[in-house]
Amino acid sequence: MTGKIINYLIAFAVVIIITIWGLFLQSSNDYRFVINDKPLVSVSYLSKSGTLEENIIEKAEKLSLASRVFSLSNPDVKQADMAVGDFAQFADYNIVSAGDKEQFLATATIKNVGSDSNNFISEILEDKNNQKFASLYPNQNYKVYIQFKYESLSQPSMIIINKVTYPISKVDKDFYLVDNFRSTDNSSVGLKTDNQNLDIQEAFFATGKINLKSSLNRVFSSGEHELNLRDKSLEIKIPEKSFISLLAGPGIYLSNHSLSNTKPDLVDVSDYNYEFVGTTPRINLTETKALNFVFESAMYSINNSIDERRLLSNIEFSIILIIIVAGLYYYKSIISFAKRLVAKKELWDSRSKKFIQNRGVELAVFSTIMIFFLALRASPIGEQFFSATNLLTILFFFLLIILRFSVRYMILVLLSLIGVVAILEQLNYFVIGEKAGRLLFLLILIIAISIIFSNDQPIVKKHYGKQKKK
Amino acid sequence: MKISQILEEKLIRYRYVFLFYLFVSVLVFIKIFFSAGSVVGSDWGFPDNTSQIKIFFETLLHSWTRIGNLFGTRQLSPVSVIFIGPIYLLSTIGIPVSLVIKLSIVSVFALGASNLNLLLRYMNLKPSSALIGGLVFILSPVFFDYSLIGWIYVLFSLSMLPLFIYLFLRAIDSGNYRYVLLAAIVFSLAIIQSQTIIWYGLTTLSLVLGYGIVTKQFWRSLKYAFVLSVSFLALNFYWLPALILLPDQSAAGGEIVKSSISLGTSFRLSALNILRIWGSLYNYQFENSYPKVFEPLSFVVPIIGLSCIFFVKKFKRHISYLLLIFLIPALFYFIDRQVISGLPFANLIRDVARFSVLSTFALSAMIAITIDQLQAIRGSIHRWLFPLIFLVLFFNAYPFWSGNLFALPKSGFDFRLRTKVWPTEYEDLNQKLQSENQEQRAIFLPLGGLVSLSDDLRYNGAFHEVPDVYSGYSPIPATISFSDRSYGASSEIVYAIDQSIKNQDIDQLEYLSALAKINFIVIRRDMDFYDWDENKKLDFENKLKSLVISGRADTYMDQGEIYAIKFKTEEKIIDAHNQLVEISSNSGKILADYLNIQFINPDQFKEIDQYRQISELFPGKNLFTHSQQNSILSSFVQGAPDGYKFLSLEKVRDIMLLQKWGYYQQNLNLKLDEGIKKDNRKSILAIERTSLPTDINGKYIVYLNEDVSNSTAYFESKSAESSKLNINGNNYTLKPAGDGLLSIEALSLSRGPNIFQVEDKNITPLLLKTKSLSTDTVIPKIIPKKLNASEYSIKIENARDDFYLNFAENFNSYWRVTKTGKLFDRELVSADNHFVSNGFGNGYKIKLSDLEKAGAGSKNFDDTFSGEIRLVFWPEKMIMPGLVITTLSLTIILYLLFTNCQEKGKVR
Repeated sequence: MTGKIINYLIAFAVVIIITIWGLFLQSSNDYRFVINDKPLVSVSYLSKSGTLEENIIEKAEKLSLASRVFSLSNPDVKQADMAVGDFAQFADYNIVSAGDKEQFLATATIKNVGSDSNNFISEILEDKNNQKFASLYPNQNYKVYIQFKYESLSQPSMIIINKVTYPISKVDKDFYLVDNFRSTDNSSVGLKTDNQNLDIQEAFFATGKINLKSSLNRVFSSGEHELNLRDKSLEIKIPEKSFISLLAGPGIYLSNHSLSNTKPDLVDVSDYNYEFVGTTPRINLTETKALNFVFESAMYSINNSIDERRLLSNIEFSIILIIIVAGLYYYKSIISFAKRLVAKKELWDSRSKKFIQNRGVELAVFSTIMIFFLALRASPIGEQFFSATNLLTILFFFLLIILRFSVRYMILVLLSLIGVVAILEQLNYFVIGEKAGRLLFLLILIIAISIIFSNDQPIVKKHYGKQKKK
Repeated sequence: MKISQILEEKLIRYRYVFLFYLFVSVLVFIKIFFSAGSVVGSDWGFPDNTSQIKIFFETLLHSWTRIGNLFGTRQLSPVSVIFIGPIYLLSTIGIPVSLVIKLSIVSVFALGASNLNLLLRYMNLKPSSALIGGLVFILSPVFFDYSLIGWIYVLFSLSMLPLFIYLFLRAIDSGNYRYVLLAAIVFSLAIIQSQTIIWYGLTTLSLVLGYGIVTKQFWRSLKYAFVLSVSFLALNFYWLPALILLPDQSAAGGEIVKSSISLGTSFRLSALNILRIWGSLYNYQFENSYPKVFEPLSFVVPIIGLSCIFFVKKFKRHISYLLLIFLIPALFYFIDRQVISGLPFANLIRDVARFSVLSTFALSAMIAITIDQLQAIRGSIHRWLFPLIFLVLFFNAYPFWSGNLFALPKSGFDFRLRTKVWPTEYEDLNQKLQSENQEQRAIFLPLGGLVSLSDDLRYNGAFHEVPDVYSGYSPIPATISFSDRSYGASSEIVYAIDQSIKNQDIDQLEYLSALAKINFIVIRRDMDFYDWDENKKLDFENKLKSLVISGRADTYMDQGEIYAIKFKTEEKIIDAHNQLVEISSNSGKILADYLNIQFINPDQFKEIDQYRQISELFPGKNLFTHSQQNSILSSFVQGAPDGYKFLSLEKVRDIMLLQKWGYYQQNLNLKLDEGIKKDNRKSILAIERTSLPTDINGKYIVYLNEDVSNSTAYFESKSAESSKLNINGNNYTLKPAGDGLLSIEALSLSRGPNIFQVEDKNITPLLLKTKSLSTDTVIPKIIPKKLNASEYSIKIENARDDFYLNFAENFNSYWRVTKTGKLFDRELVSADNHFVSNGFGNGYKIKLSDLEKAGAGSKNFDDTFSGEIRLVFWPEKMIMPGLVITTLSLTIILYLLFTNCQEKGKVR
């Protein structure tokens, strides 16, 4: 009876495997591509976030502020796509957010400084009163929107950009405007106020299209183009030195058939709409869509990142099912193995009791020491010496002492530790993983030393190489 | 049993094993055999044809080479001949070089697997386990990544490692020292990769400590380690003594450990990656090709390997040293690179990531042990565990069997194995150059040694460039390779040439070409130049064509992708001059004594940046030398300078900022060693603490060694609006001095710092000329003749006065002037008369009395002097005696190996 149920379960698992793979293979994708005609706003800023979470919050804040700046600078544009990054090559509008000195130093490259023939950057950095810094495009007209920290204390009337004073006017409840600021050949800027009590909270430089050597003409839906969808490929024909912005279903992106074509850019954008409810934000931060920017006529293959993720989860799910099926198939062996374990349980119990009895004093001493160290952590100096890592290392050594540096026990600890670091790595706990990894190598060293200096005689066969049968 | 019998017995079995692995390797690399052209890309830069390999081979036979730097550089060792020699031989019998290179890749793979198989069989592993062990070894990330990047020497060294260990172990077990001699031969072959000396050395140490102690054969193993060292030294006597007795900074120093490339290589290195033998390269193609879903499996591999410790009773003697070898990369990873770089000959260690080869070997061997012992386990566990392990190992080799060696790159810095068929006109040009006088120079543009091809995305952009083999192995020297290794004295002229091309300043390029004895300029139209677009490339080509139109050059070739010109004035590498003009900048003194700045490298102040303008202030055939360069590179005794260069305070501030920026940027790397970070922080603080004078705009300093009177200060003027100047607080007016120059004459200045302040930014101080030169000395006729890459004979005819000899090859203090060029010959020009000439070359003050005293010539009837001297690169002189010792040692070793002698058979 049990056998029958197991057979049914196995058959059921096989059916599930076939079904999920069948569904996967059958899944029809909507590969329709639509030419996106909405203007593109490129928003660039120097990030100061250190973690993924900070990065998400920072991005949302910057986009939100940039959307307000955009609505102030271009009230006529009712709908647009906003992308974070430097997309001046494609963008119809560009907004640059100024950053702090540290960010500016960290992200500017040596090349910028090296080619700074007139010491522009040097002067900007040397001026200790400069509060915000940015790298702009040269010889471009910008509208500068500034938000102050302590506005209520005094009314700002001036702002100094690269030693030149500009009058500012209030344009919004938060923002002040410098109309028509022009960047020079040296595109780096430093901003400061004429009043030391005024701190700049944010500064945005907004401009229209930037004409770069690498700038491309946009192909609109009404323009000259050809899109031919063939199975999982898309043939695109556009004029030279132009690009087309294509919108497809979620997760769909284009890639090259061959290396001889330039890879399309996949850009995540957020919807900007002047009519969004309320005054702020004017941007939809809850969902993004991906645009494929293609700038070369060629045949492109269509990929779906959602399908790729599904493939991975299908593989993982199938592996688990196969393990379950194997477990069911070999259930008798597993049960007998379990029975053997149960039979040995009493033996283990008595051994573990003996083990604890033999090492009772050690355990007590080590526990006391650990509690003492933990107590020392209360003081600042103790905290410095008995960090979590150091305490874990000490604990680890106590464990090895309790195990009497027995190679057999140590290898078990070692293999378990590898399992732990593998899990930590999968969960992206790199810092702890790295520390555990170091511990792991220490353990290997201890094992190696234990093996080399142990008194066990190695088993040696008399003949080496080919064994001859007599 | 005789060694010869053992070799015979092993070789018979080895042959079949090798053929099996060769078959597997060919399957892995099958695609390159069906792709036309040479394997290229990243560091894959082997010659493309027989004439190129001939050039490469011949240059390896000397201590001075012009491959990689057209101004010449020291060849530290000729060991590459071990690999290149056979390829050259095969190419001479008609086998295409590209095919030989492809065959060598699969052979190295097969060799590695077979050697490990041999060692595993020696450990008494079953043939099937040994076979799997070999496969695991060559299907590891290191073999994958290094074959893509082109580090075949590393792979060769790694492939020979198991054989080396096998021989050393066999020596300890049998008590037969002959195995050690064989191990020394293997070691000497593997030395083609410089790190081998560290890797094999540490492996030997691991064997002595692990195997020696466990088998109670410590003293014997120590004795054999000594025999090994002595034999290795004897076998490598053809290059080692020169390196030790005549040291070179590029080997003896430690700066390469901290170079950006070395640090970059270790970018992926982490404790967890070392554990699973990942992260041995910045371009982590294996890891990149590894499916995300299989990633946890990568940790199962070390679990399988380290599980061999369960069988420690049976394999104690082997597990002991395998664990130690496995730990070596981790050990180097944990040591701060600031500490490593301070070790003598640390440049040999170079990058830590490369040490993964050792853990790769050890883990593969341990995996084989585990597999072997699992086969012996009886019961149901064997039924499922064994296939499961196979499955894991099979999936772990996914990047190999899925064809990822030839796939599309996954990211910008990723690249895969590619082949390239070069345009025929490239070879046509080299053939044409073959018929030219070989003592000339060319520059093939773009510079750099690695080139990006405009019309082929497989070779376009950063990380996808290809080695410029047609300039690298050109019949006349033609490459300036950009790398993290110093070019020595020539770095400043290299920089100046690069700038002149970048700025399309064709007059400056022409001038520098004459100075550097460059007679040809070649552009390849299908390559990328800086960030130039097609129009800018065309502009540059037109500027070169204008040289032809103006009659200063001839079109040498205009065919397909090649456009080459040849200057009409053919410059010689060796010539004589009657005057030496010594220019001092005293920048080191100004920084240290006057500004109290201790941390700026004086190298930052380019000595020859205004060379062209300065040389025009001293008419006649003069040789120039710069005191700043001499103080760093030579032992030249300084005289009273003929002119002083100005040091701009604004430039000092820029360099300080640039350095601060550099340190700051480097410290952003979270993986950077704490020692290096600390050092950088110290430098940042030092820069921040330094306070330059408040008003530095337009200020220049001249630091005089003595009081000067009646001197003239020259200024370059670019549409100057004002001619006012302030010197030490006094106002002066500048006067036109022709050729766009302004000057102030009859200046009296005192010793120490003198401050010049220019208000107009269009006026740049050029030189403070303190003396005029007498021109009554006569330049003698000299006839130089190249004897080989490291030796020239120079005939001197009718010399009346002492003169200056200019040898326009990269300055090196080991270039010596002697009478006959023999080993014990005395130097005719002492080190204090050997200086850096024209900003890069070797200049010598030749005293006729010294030549006469040494018998290098005699006086003629008209009281003139005629004679002959030799210009010799001294390390070359140590090759021949060394080679004799090496040959003798090899003969003795071979004699000892093949004489009748029984093994002692002291196996425990």
